[in-house]
Amino acid sequence: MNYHEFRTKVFEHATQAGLQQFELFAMDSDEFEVMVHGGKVNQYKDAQSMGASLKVIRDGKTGFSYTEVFDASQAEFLVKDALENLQVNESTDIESLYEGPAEYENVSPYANEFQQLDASEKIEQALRMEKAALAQDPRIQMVPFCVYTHFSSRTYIDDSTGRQLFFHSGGGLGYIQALAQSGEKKKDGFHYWMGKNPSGLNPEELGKVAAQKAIQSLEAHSVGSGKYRVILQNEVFASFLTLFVSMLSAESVQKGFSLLQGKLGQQVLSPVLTIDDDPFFPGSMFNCPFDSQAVPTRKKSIVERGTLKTFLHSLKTAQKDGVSPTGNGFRSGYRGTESIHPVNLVVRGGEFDPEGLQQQLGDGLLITDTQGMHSGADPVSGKFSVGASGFRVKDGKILHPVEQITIAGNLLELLSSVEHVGTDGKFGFVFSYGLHAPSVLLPQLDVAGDAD
Amino acid sequence: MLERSVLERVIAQALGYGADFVELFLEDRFSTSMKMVNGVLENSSSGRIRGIGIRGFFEDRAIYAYTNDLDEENLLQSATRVGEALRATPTQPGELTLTQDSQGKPHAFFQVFTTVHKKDKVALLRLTTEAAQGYSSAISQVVSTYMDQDQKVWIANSEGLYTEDRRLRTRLTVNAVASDGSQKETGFESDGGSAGFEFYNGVDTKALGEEAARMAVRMLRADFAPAGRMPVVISNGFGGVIFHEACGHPLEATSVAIGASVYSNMIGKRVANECVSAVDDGSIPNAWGSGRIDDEGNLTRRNLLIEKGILKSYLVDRFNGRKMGVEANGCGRRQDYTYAPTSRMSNTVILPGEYIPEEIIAATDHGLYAKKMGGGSVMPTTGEFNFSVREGYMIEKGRVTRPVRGATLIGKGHEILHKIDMVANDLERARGMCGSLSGSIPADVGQPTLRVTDIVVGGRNQ
Repeated sequence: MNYHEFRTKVFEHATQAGLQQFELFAMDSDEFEVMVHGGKVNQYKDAQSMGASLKVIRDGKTGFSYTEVFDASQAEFLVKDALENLQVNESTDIESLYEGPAEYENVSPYANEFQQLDASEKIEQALRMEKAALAQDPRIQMVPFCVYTHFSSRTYIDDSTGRQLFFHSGGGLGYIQALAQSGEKKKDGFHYWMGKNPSGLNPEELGKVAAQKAIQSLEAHSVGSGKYRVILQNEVFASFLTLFVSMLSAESVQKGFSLLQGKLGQQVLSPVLTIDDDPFFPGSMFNCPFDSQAVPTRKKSIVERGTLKTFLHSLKTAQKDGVSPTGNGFRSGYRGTESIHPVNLVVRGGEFDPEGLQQQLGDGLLITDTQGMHSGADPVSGKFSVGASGFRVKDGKILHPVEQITIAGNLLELLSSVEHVGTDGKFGFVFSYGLHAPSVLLPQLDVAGDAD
Repeated sequence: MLERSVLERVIAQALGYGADFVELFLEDRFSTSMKMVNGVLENSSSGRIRGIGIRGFFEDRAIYAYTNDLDEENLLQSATRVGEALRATPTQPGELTLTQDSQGKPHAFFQVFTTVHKKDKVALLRLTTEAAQGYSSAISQVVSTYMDQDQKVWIANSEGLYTEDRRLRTRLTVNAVASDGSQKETGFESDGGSAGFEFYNGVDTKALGEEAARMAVRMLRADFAPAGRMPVVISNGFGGVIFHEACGHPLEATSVAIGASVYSNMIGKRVANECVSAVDDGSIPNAWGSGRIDDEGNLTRRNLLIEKGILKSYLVDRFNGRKMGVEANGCGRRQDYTYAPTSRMSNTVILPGEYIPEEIIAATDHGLYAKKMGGGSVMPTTGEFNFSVREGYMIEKGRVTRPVRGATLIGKGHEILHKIDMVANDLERARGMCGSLSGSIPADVGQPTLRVTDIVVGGRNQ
């Protein structure tokens, strides 16, 4: 049976089970990916899938069950299984369906911009990326990864209040890794582009920059341990901010997992930092008019000149704190549970371009890459100790590339010490939500290395 | 699930476009996951996924499509898209008859998860949570999770293979937070296996909670680890994550086949000190990373990767094996049908040596003792790795002394293998989730206690 027939069946079973509040959240997704190697297509993926998740609410408690099978027996099972999950739920938080104003911003949906290109054009773009990297320098030994991919999702929310919502989101991504070799020494360089419209992808630029990054770091060596003035380049700062995002979730705050607990209205970050959640950020593929709970999204200031203005809320956490939901209750898909995150976390740009920021740095380190953020950083304690690489800077000039160091500290201390903010905002390599961040200058960071 | 004749027609459809190999992977899986926060069951969710992956090869090109619309007409369309994308010369395929293959022993299970009441699963979480909370008044939060999944797969290919497997897996994790008002530290423990709910008959769930709590409390009272280069003794069990990250990933054919691995063209050559031997074994009965067959339908097996420091074998999947001119060796794995399979680890360990662990500590004048490792990552192209130490201690004059926190180990995997100079006899495996090209999959890591003569430890400068 098709999805509409399935939905009708599920709603019938839910009503028969005596349920008054329920919601079906469905996603119909497609993805395309081409990976090239050695001037040829190596791997290629072209796929489509659809699934739905039922949420049932009774006495303020919820239960979830999802399926990719749309038939009569599964419709019946879905209701029964969701009810079983509801029955073991012990949460005292009150869950409900959204009943506030249904005024949604007019967000331009994804219009299949990538699908309109022929597969051969996309293959051609990927091949050009690889070619540009190889042509950049004879020391570029190979391109281990060169990928052109796009994806889109059609989200449907239907619930027992009669609400029917639909939105189509999507975008694409090109990324390339180039490997440079000189003697025994190997270094790689990585570069990417993401966006809603394929016209923004410049294959030559992607390949060239990845190759340059690899070449530039060939002569890298470590530095001595100590405290350094540091610039975290935009992509690196973005990856640190993923930790901050988990602290902003009102769910983490309410459960005692966030260092920001009790800090609303206080100066928690450096006064040079202003951070918004902007669901309508120009060019972002993450823009959307409502969250996964049908709450309208809205632009809001999270941190204003260092002062914490709001946490991010779902319906449940807002109810508990006695505030309005903020439109941040999301689901990564029908298989996933609800989580709270921004639509586009945007750090407002500062006054220095990359060169100016380097002048401000004077002597120190420019960190261009980190490794192990998922294991070396703890969002609960804020502590991090991660591998890093970049450049040694002296008198505002690059001295030599740096590898095999670690940087360590505490995220909130790091964020409260930011001295200057760059103008070079960029979307970080993050896919659950948008994270647009510039480079920042820190007066001091612990660095471990093994050079004298 | 699907008639064998349907699978035959779908394979034939792609072959007709000139594919020289076609494979179907059909999956039907029911999963449950639960989360208890501070003793309250906050979330219980379950569901079913079902879909099919269609993969076609032509020479050194691989095309993958998946769909969860199992209508024959849709499947034939998907096969057509795969065939067209291959850009081969259309041919008239010969007769294809799929024959059932059932070699090897399935991993035994007794209690299927859907027959267990959800309340009994909640009870496990309650036991482990209460054990962690009861360990110390410094424990401020406890999050425990439970998951189970019952995955049925059917694999068929153009060589006539038709095979199936049923994999039941379950895992319990506990994360404890200790707090002294200003600082927070976390401890983590888990257990899991390829088995039914009977798995928990052999698991001390209380001990899991206590262990996580112990670790968090111990680290709360620890100084920050010193920074610098020093000898590091890595404890058994999850300490094996170092080999997994730094050497296991670069041995996967995914990077070896295109010459992107530091171990490309190194078979028969010395890659580690003589005291190091390592295997990957997906056939260990009921182990977390095991299965009867891999996700390409090949039998899992014990692959000797390194023998006394000499590189013996890579982990090879079908597609990369074709490029390398070697047979696949039973390690083609994927998260689910939405991923094409590639070479992945299953249960990967460094084999035991001759020392007892205490001898290794006693032989170390000054260094770091990494009792519990956290996770990490590696760049297969350069071998650069990093991983975090969850629970660390200083070694001073041959004895384990004060606890230290916040340590990170960084280095290059191919270099570190040569620096392992003592291996103990206490091999143990531990559960993990491994993320790579074909998604997130269950994998065991493992090793005996061993010493690395020097590693850069990232910590804080005093």
